[in-house]
Amino acid sequence: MIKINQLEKQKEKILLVGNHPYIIQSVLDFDYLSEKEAPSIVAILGNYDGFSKYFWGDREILLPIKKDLDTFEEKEQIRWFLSLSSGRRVLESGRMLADKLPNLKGGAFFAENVPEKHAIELFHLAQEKEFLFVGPASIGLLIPGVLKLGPIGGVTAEQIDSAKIVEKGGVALMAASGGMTNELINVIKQQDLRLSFALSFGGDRFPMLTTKDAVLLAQNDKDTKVILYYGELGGVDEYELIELKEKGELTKPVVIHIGGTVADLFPESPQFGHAKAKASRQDERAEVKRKELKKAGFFVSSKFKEVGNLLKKAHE
Amino acid sequence: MARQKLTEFQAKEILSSKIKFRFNSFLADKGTTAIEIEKKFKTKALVVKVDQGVKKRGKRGLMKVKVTSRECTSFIRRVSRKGYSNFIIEEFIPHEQDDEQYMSMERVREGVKILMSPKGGVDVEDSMNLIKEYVIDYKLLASDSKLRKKLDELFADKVKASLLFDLIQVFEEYYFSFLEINPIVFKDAQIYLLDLAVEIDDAALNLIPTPVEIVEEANVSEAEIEVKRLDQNTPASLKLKIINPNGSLWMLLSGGGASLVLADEVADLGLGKDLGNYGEYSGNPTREDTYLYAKIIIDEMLKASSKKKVLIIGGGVANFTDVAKTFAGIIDALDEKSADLKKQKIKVFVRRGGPNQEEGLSLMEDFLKENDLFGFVSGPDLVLTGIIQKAIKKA
Repeated sequence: MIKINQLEKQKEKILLVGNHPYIIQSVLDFDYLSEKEAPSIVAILGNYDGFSKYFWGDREILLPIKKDLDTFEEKEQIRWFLSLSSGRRVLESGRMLADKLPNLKGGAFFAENVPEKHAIELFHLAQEKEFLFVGPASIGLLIPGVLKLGPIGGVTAEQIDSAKIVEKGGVALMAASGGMTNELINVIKQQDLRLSFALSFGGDRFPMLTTKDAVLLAQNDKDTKVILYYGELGGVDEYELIELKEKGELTKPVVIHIGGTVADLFPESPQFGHAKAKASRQDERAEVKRKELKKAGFFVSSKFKEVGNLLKKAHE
Repeated sequence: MARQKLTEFQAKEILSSKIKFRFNSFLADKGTTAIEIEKKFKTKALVVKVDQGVKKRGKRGLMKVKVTSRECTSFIRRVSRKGYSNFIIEEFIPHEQDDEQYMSMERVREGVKILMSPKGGVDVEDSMNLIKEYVIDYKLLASDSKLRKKLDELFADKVKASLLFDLIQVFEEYYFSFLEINPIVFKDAQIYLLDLAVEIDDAALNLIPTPVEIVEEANVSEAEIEVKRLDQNTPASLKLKIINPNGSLWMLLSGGGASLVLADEVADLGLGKDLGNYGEYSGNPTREDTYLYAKIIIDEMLKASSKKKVLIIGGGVANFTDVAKTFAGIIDALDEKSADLKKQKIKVFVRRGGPNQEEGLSLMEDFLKENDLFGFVSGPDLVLTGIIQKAIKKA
């Protein structure tokens, strides 16, 4: 498995797949504010060969657009991709990237509406080749000063600056929800703490990165002192945390908030915003997960406003 | 996006194209006459069921067994009044309770999980120890010969092995996520699917061989249908569930996760009964989409009979949803109804962050103050759920 603290600030180069100007610019702003020597984005994979105009600080720069990876000589530098392709194309494009990028370490899939079957195929591909894939429907992966793979942490330079996401700290953040990832970055900042890394699993039923692998990523990261985890009703991923703790594979403190107790107001659990957010069984209910996690000795908040204090406590 | 239910009729129709079972079902609604039913079934004994993805129909009085065509139509008329509109009629298959078996399939990370029990029927869970679980590895799903070999190894009963093979073919081809036959009856060299439930992966709807329609939930309000329609026509996400049409707390929330956390706060404070709605907008909707969405919720709030009402515009720190743009859309909707809102003395409480938050928040604050709707406006310095506390003091 990849070691987050061994990644190299100047060498983690990215291939952008698809076009989302404000997300691309936010990666460049992050690089610039992290005082990197050069942009982390090597090229944009598109429908034609050409260039696209962006800013590096105040200076205009041109990012190359490539339509074919076979003839792209600098592809050896690429360690990561950020896929902004549509849901239907994710499987095909994921397989192609895995095949054509010889030094690939991982990538993030932004698209929603990826069929479950396709996400599962890519999950197995990642397991087999030891890639760190996050998504689908993920706002990405963030390692302060090193890597911003998606809109995670914001898309304007002001956001990146005020959220303090270029300064490295000791909190590893992982969340099912993209919006809550950013909200919790805000909570961490308010406690005057900083991130070791942050990622959003995406709210789909089968995230390519499992809860277990994400937690182990934090456990094995030298910089991480405490883990902050946000989960929701639906699915049983959180029980993996209990299993890891019981086996002694997870020793770092984990602060957890589980959303979705509101579902109990309905006669039958409705489908909430995220595809996975629906409890069909008792153990998928938010209340039950909170109770079981608490019993296993995790720092579990019963109200969201407690998260900040628990985090401070766990960090000490 | 999510797993969606198919009607039993449609699920059987799909299965019948690949699998040999006794498919003799009739789709009925309020307008169906006894004569139409008799045309298909003559004078056979019948079963009539609500066909809208509802669970536990037997226990909830949403099905009737061993009835005549006339009893079918009167059942349909009666149950229609509870808000149901789709029904399925089938011939009644006489069988012993002991003939009822259970079979289900679910997509899991490892492949397809199969559950089987020789004792099916409504109380299948009472005989947990009889339920056997098998997981078919995802790698086998793509190869006919390997899959067949595996199923033959697992199941000595050739009829079952072959049925499972065919079911998995359909399961894969149609991107099913879940399939449950309970009970399934094997009788006189025939297979009867007495009750079938299927969930399909709606992210794959344009990858399947024939188009399907997702089940229409019963008892959905006009407002919810309108939001659903909006949601289908935008790349952003727009959701609405009315909880209490006469509630006092109305919410315009953003983000799948933050909206849950905010609604949880209300429920955890024991104020669930006052909650008018749950919903969320996210994925950077346009000003126009946000306006249309907000208008629907504001209209519902204005209709509510509660005396003291508040509107909570709450959300986390957005990654990429433009706060200024979406707030402009909400202000458009508030502006249109500002006279009514004022008349009902409704106050608006706001907490939000994200791209262009300063501009969005100050636009909102100015508008609310000018129109006497101001409750509270805050950026991300206030803890996310703090806005609920502020609002309920006024409600």
